[in-house]
Amino acid sequence: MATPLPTSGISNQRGSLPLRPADDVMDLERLGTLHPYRLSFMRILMRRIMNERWVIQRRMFDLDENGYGTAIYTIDAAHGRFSFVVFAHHLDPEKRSDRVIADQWDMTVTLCEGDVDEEQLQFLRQNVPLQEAGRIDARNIVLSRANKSSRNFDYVVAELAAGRQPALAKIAQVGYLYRTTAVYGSGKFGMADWQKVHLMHADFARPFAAEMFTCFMIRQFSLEQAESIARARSPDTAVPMDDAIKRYMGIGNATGLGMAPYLINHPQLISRWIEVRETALARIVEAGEASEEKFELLQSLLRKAAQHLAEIATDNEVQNQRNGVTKAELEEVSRWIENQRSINWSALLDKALLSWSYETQELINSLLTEMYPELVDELEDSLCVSESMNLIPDQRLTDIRDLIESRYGWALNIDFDAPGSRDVFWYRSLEKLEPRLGQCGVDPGEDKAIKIAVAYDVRQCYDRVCECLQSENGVSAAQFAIEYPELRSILRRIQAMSQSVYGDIHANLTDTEVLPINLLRCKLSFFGVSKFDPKSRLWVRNTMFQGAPLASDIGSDFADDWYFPVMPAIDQENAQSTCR
Amino acid sequence: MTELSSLLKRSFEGLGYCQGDYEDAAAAVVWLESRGMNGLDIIASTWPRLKSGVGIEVSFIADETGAEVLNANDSSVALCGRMVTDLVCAATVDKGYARIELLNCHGRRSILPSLAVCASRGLHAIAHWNDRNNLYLSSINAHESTPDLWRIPRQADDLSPATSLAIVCSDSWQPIETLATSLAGDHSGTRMESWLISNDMQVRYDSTIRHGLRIDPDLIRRLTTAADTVLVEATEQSRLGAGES
Repeated sequence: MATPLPTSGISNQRGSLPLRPADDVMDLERLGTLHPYRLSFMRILMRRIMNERWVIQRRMFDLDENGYGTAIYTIDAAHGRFSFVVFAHHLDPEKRSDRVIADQWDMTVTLCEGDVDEEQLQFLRQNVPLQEAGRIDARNIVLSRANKSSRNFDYVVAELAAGRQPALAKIAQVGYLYRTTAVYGSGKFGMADWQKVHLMHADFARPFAAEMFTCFMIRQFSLEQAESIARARSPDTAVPMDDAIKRYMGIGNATGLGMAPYLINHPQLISRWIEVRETALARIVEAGEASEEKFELLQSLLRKAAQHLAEIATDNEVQNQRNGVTKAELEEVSRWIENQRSINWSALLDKALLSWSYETQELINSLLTEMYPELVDELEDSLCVSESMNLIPDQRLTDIRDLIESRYGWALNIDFDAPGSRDVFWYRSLEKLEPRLGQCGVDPGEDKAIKIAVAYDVRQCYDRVCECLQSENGVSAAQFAIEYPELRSILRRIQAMSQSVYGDIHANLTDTEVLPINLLRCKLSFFGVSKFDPKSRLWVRNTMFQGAPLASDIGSDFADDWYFPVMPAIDQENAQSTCR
Repeated sequence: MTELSSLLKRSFEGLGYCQGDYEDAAAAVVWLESRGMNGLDIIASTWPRLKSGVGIEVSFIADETGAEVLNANDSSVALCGRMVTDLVCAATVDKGYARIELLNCHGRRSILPSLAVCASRGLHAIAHWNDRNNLYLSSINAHESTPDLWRIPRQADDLSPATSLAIVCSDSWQPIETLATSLAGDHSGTRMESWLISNDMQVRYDSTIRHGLRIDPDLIRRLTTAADTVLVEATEQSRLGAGES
């Protein structure tokens, strides 16, 4: 008997929509091809900033001629005032590192509630530059740091100082002046817990909204700092950067394994994010009118996405090849649409499933969401979920066995006796608790492995349940949990996740072939980053907010079309003279 | 709270407790501490016992009266309270009413968050225990979020051991109320001396959300020392296991 399709649990007036099956959607390889979409967190944030007309003002910009010093921005959002505090430091180039274990940075920042007075500023000055080694308090919402892109920053400053705009072709190679290497929130180092942000700061009461805003402000500061240094260096010739080029400057990001356990430790939240994305897609398939106008729109979006892919500069061969294939397939998509007399979106998705790669399939899905804001945007209120893993104590073992078979078939299908299937372990390093991968039997620390092997634990639980059922039928989950305390955690996870629409990510994270980078890309796509540039199977560089409005654009018309950013079409010669 | 919860999980993991146990213990302590119920004091005062115990073993004891009796074997209720409460809840769903007595346990105030879980399941619950001088009663109505806690001078004829805890769960409030009245004895006619009612706990929780928690540095050091035992020494080779060299 075929497994019924999941249906969206998100309340809406459209009834329960059939969604794509979990076996397809939760497959880690597919999750590793997700692209940002209309409800990615940066997109939602920018809509709020622009539509609610937040006011972002520089309150202090106390930088020396080299750009070192302190800056404070005041942000009047729709529901409250916040301060963004920056400490810009000198950093020897050889100490510049993307690694979380670094202990010095070009820029350290924090986002605080309310105004910051002199006493608090002193406190922040003593602690924020220390990052993990410092201690801040519940007035702080986010703590972060960033390093200059050695390729871009000096070049841009030199050009501006000389009265020239930086060349777009060069900017396209990197696309940012600074790269963040960690963005902390949710109660770390004494900061406000998520509960506080959620309850008291409506402006940031969505997943990672405050963290994304901090990155937006780092980008803002990076542009202003570069201009400030250029002005100080050459007051007579320096020019401000052209706004179109500024918008094309994003903020870089380097993400490593630290992000991966989050997806495993917050399965209900991840399931909800996926459910929201799939619900958006289902709404479009069901109700999205496929008019001539929409076809034209899709064609233009396909062209834009293809250009975006063509402009990605990465040394990673696999990613380069993927981008090339996707770009070629997008042209096929375009031709296929052109040749259809009439189609609906369901037919397009069926065709994609049969003919094109995961990357292309998911890119098409992302583009479709851009075409129907009226069907999609309200779903942004459904991205939060109350997480709790409670046992269903009276559930009988027979029901638990059936549950595992129906929801965790993917885990039961893994052969844990096969070579390589249990060869990798994840552990936390003494260096800043950084998650790392080890090889079983080779690297030390196997006995301290992080409990991340969900698939294997499910298998263990299932085998034990079946064993118990051979002797007794009426045992409850609570009795089982007392008898086998080591299985209590996975048992309640199985029960809790059975109440979510999509359940756990389908992956064996202890397999020697595991690609953690797929976990990273999945989460980053929900953040809304672009230009994935994998540096290994363990970490990735990417770009945030490229193409997004600037703080100075707030109050102007907002088209909300900055996704899949492409090089702006500006006349650089003309821009030089205009800016002077 | 998030940070404290992570630290506690790693600490209990470092002490050798299994995943279900350390998740429960961290949740119980944070729940109490954030509501002004001194969850960390419970940990601090029993730290040597927690350190010496590797894992917990709750075992069933036959009882002639038919009631369920379990031996906690000197475990903290912070660690085993949740699993025992789960057992009471399962029995209540079957029979409408259930009682479990847990012997040889300590840190019994840690049962409060588990009572809140009972209530979230739509059940009414009460727990009671005593020390040398007082009887403690904590009860909660179905679907409420925080139990009341009462402290009553112990009655002279009360011979129950000071290391046991009784948990009663019901699908109706009436038997819980009757039991509370009966336990209160002479005090039942007057208002019992309340120690902390749910409103107080909620006020303290709100304050914790706003301002965070202040924690004894010495306890943090002890917890961190235990937590660090689950971390792996960094080497050049291990750094390769996380990205660029």
